Amino acid sequence: MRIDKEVCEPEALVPSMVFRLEPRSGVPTYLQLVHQVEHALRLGYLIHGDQLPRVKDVVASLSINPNTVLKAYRDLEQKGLTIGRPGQGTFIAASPETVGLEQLTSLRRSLASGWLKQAAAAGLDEQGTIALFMAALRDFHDRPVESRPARRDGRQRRVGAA
Amino acid sequence: MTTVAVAPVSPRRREHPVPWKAMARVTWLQRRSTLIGLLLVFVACGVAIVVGQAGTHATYASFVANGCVQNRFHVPCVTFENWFAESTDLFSAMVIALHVVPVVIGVFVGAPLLSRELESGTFRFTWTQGVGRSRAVVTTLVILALFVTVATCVLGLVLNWFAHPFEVIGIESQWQSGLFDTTGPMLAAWTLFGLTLGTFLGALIGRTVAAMAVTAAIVGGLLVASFVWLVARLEAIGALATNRLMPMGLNVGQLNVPGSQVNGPVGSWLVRAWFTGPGGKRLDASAASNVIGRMYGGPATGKVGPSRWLSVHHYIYWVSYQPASRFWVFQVIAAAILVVLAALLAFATVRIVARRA
Amino acid sequence: MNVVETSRLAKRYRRTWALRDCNLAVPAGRIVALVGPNGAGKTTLLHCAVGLCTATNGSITVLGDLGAGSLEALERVAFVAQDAPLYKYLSVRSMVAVTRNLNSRFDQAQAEERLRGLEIPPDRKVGKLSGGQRAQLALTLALARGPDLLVLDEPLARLDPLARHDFMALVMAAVAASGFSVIFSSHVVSELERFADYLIVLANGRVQMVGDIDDLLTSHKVLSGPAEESDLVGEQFTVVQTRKATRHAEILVRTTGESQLPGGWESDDVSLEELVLAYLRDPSASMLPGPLATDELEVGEVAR
Repeated sequence: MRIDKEVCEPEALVPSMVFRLEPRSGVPTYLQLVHQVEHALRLGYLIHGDQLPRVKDVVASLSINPNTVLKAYRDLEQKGLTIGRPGQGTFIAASPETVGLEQLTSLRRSLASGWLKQAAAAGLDEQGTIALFMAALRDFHDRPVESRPARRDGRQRRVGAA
Repeated sequence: MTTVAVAPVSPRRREHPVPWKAMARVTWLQRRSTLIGLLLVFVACGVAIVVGQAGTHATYASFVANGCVQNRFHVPCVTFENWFAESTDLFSAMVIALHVVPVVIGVFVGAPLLSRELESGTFRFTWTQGVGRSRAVVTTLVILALFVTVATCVLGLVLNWFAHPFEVIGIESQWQSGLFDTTGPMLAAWTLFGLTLGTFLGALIGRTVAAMAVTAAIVGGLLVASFVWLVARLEAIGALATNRLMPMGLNVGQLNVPGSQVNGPVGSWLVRAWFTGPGGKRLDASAASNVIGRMYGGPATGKVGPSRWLSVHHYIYWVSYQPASRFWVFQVIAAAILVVLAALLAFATVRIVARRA
Repeated sequence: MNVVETSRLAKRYRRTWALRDCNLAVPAGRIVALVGPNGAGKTTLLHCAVGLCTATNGSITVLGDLGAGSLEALERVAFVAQDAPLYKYLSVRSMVAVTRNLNSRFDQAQAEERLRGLEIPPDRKVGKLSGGQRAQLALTLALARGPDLLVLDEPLARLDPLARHDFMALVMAAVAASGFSVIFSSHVVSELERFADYLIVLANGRVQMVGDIDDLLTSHKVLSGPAEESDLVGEQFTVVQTRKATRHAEILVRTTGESQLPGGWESDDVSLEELVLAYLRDPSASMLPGPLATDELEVGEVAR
């Protein structure tokens, strides 16, 4: 079995990053990879100089189209988060303003005891909560999603007059 | 209106030499057990013949040593002749066994060759490999044909060697249909025919069991027909006639061996005999046997001999025969017919494969 | 270069037309999914591409200008048929040897290494392997030929989920390493998005939809709005499928992105599965194929 092999081979290098896919989330695969790298960066799981797993290793473990991985890595490079060194691989090039671990924990706690509690009391279920939050988040960041025709940034729903 | 898109024959074909060695390896890998089985059967037959004829060749050596070849009526020669006359069992068994060889090859090598691929679906693998389906079939057929030709030629020659003493003595003859069909070249020709017929039927029918059955029926049937009638019919063509032989009766079909009491062409094959009467008219079977009865039964015959008796009564005894030198002509004709048929079947097989879509 | 190009390709078996008037121009370097219901003609199309059957009408070329099934094409195109047929009575080792001898190009070392990695014992008879192992073996043999195009006919149909994952992982890793094109057929749409970047939808022998998956998903939207205004939408957009309720309607449209949405209407993205099903449900909805390289042909003519 494949799993046993990875455990028993002492020379196998531990990858810097482990990817997970949610095929039915509606978010395009390459974006999921990008987000996971960004998330890892934010949490400090990836630091400057770390080498991202090679394309073929990601492909072999996730069983996805290589072009998807290439696209994700290109996207990260475009955003300035990584840099590709020909013949060597893709490396983390930036340390974005990381939100420290303790701050994350307190943010999470305040969300749970504050806003989420209120939403539940108002009678919103999980989906309703998510929808409302996404709408508010978008308003907050003031991103006009429709004006970018060439790129897909995940499921777009302009909640108009419902 | 059906048109077929055909790949243009490009000059690049020269860059694709036919991989004979590779295909030989493939054929071996695919047919290993069958080929080994066949080889064992051939070797067993060969060994049986070699072992079985030990006594025959010893007796024959004595036969020759005693000068029996020139003079049959030497005292010990008759004993030897009787010995041979009673030792034909193994010989007949081997003749029959060798008749089965073309059927066996047709059924177990030819028929499954393509039908198994078609039935099991492996043709979807084989015909999409780089070698291409036509070249794969052609090379496999040629390689197998070479193998069976050589093996059966050797087997036939071994049988011939076994038969030689019997032929010299006059008990058996290579003109007889049994031995005619099992000489080296003829056995190889029959086997090639069996192989290609089996392969053709396998490609045509696409089902192994059915192809094997039809192959067995056709090859077996033709061999039986050849044994019983075809060879004799062939050998009757263009026979010469002579009236100078001693009357023996109407059942001929034997060699006119040296040292026997008939005059006439030595070593020839006597095909048929008949009588003509006073007016030159040919006698029918009952009248002929009547003549024979009177010729050998009457008291007058003893004094003058059958020939004088015949001329006195204005009967003439005719025999048609084939000179010894013609034997190879007939072998070549018969083998050529079979080889041409085999070639046609091979072409047809390749065509079926190439066009199957 | 177009890895597969067909022009009015049609194939008839006795009295049924398995393929009709198929026009395709599939660019190289893609992983192509060929989907459609059972009996749509997927296997026939793939068989035509690898030379197992010849077209009744029209033409098909592969890897640029090579005739499908020509010797040049056979060298560079590897095929794994449905149920991965191999010689059951041979050992794995012999099967590899047979394949090596049937091709001028074969990487024995690569094949052996992969088989070791897959833990397929070389001395076991092919017939004694599990379905998943046999599929893996057939794939390994095909990959060892170093093809420029790999064609797989319903490779996952009879495999359990783990075998499916391992099989596709092997294909994807090989593509990542060597960069060849792949065409695989499937009648399950939901798993396609992670593997394929180009789609051909076949139904009743005809091409219903074809193109880059990204393009297809950006160019289709589901518009929802008041039912009585459905016709308005129909005037402005190419409608693929309309679903009406009492007071509102959901319309799947094809758009260039420049049309203005009528007021009160919302636009939503569509998933690949939804899109494919919509095209399959409506036989008259047919998407124009990508750029064609050949001229129009009369029925019965053959392009050389």
